[in-house]
Amino acid sequence: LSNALQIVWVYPDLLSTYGDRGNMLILAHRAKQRGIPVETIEVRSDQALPTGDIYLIGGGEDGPQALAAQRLNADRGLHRAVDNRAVIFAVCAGYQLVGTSFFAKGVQCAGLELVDLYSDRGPTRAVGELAGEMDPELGLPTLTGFENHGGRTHLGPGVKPLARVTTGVGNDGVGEGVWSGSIVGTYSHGPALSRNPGLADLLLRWATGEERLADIDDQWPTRLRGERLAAVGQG
Amino acid sequence: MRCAVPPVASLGVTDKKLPLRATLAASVSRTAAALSRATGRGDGSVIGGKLGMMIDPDLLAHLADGRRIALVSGTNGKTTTTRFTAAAVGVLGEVATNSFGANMPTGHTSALARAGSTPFAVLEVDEHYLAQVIKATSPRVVALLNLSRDQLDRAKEVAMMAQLWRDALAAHPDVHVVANADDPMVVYAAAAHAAGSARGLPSGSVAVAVSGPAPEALTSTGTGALQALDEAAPADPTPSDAAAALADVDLTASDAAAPADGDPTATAAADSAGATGPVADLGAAAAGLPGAVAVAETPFGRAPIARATGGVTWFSAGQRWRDDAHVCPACGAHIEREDDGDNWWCTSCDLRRPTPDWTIDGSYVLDPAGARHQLKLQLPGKVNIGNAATALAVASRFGVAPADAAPKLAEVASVAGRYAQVQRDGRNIRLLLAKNPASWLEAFEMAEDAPTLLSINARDPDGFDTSWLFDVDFAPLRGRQVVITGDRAYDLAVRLQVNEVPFSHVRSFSEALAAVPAGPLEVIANYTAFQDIRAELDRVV
Repeated sequence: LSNALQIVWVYPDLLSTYGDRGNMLILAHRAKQRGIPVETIEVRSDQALPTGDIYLIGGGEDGPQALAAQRLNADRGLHRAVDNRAVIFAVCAGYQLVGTSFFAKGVQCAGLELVDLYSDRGPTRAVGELAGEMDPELGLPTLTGFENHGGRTHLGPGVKPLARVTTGVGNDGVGEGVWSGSIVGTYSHGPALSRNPGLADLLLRWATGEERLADIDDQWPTRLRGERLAAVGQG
Repeated sequence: MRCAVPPVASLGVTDKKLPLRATLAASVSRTAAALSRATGRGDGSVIGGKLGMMIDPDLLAHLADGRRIALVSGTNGKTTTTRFTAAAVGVLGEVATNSFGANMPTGHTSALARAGSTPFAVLEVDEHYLAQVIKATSPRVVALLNLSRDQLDRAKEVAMMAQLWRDALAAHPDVHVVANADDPMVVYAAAAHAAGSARGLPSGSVAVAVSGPAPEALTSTGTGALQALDEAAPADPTPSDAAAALADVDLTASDAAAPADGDPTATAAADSAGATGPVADLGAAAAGLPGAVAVAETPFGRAPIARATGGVTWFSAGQRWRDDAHVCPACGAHIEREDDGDNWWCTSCDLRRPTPDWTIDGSYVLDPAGARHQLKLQLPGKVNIGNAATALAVASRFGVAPADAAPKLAEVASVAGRYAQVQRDGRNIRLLLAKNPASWLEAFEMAEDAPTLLSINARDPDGFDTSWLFDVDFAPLRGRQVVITGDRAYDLAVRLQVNEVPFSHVRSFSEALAAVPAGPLEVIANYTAFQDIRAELDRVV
């Protein structure tokens, strides 16, 4: 299976609160539709991270998030993955983890320092539909998702948000998520890739080096996107 | 649809023993409930309690006074277990119960007011309200079924829920707890209660709380996280103008969605305020309690540990969904599980599966004495054998022999429409409610190999985040005709496509009926989708 695209789901035992398995299933499904062989690897937090092509980090509760940060910092596998230019897609608590610090149970915790960003506590909990215009450089249609987080995320200089918020809060009410090299972070659940097949394909293109991927049957994701964007007046 | 409540004719009816204000409140409550049913707006299980509590905020406590009460709480199975328990306790005498799934204090108030004076009550309690309802009703027994993810956008984190339960029980050490030995979250919640009893975890409370190398980030106080969760909570959910509400009541909004008789985010605020309460309350209460009160350092902060006198009865009913209990709620280490069995243990601290007193074996329930009781339930699935075992365990605390209760459980054919079988246009329709990943796994175990309609909404009582659809493996439906509908059918469509389950999409229940051949049709729906379909079938119960 050495030729297969290796999708590594990081710590589903700790970070899988918001249907995060979905992002792995969707990437695998979309790759298989293009005839790309795929291997999915679920790595528990007491196992070492293997090498892979795409790493997925999901959402989680405060305690598990803090535990995941400690173990990932001890493991260093994600740090090596970034050095090897692997693709990383991080959601919610996982997104906060890739920065320098975050808050869990009221305590500031050290992040993985993979991207220059940090998270602190916001004045309100952000819960509801999230939408935004994607960074034009990515050439993707409007981001749609569902957010549920108490933190706010602040990007360092030279780090770009994934999207400009039109509905919801995202990082800080203005920007949402991050992209930096082959790392994408977002507060979107849905799961994110169910509502944003273009983003899923971008991750697959980065991981495979393909310029473009064959079209596949996207009637249901398209209808879902249309319905969710219409629900926030952006149909 | 708005409906003005006319002058209350039944105000003259008095309930003995109740204070005058409570009498008025109970009477208004019953009348409004009757109106709700008569106008076809709902079961009347919420609106009556809402009005009554505006007149007498302590109405629930007043109505509970003098009854022997059991509470049933958990993420899944509480409506059915409540129904079974009420049937079992009914062997002894009349039982008041909230049989329509209205499981917040307004629903309890309504149910007790409607029942009049009864020696017993068995109440289903929303897990977020358990502390409040224990305080108001002083139950003899509390049954804790399970805790798993539910309503992702606003439900409390699972581990935090377990902690709140634990705190709630600590404040009431004389309550007897019937708890699921198979769910680490439930065991954590109940373990301290077992401390004073012979069974369960000897000295479990303190040992569990203080031992084990808790990760440093976890040793901080839980207050920050509680606040974080409660940030969005409105300040005061109580309507201030009862008179205006009486004159112009929107029955549809509150009543059709029975369990949402309050704003769950609002309760978070109440819970948060209460989170620091037990320490002080317990100190004050301790003087009158047998046994010492200690305060233990737990990974979640300083928690009051009362020496429980009520004790715990552990039951084992099997647990299919395990993805919310990989991490020990006491110390944060890994929970290990036996490959082909129910046993589990924390790899670091003392939290482990207690030896169950009640177990099941096929269709048999084994009681603590080892006697086997065969159940011939009409309700399908292993999960309902487990619910029945729990009911027998609770009823036995009231003195009901399992052999006397078992035939009563066999009479239960459906529960608020759940499992109901209805004939319509040549289709034999069975209704299954599945509202979160754990209950979907159970529904698939119960469903026959037949055409299946799936309906998904994401309205207020359902939770707005549909991500959980990807936590459910729909593969068991491959090879069956699958029809999907509901407000959020497109979310489900994407899920099924990725799951390689062929399906067709329809816009209504009647279209769905037309899409399947005559014969059996399994309907699996989440909360409001289920209620919509139930309404189409004339509110089948």
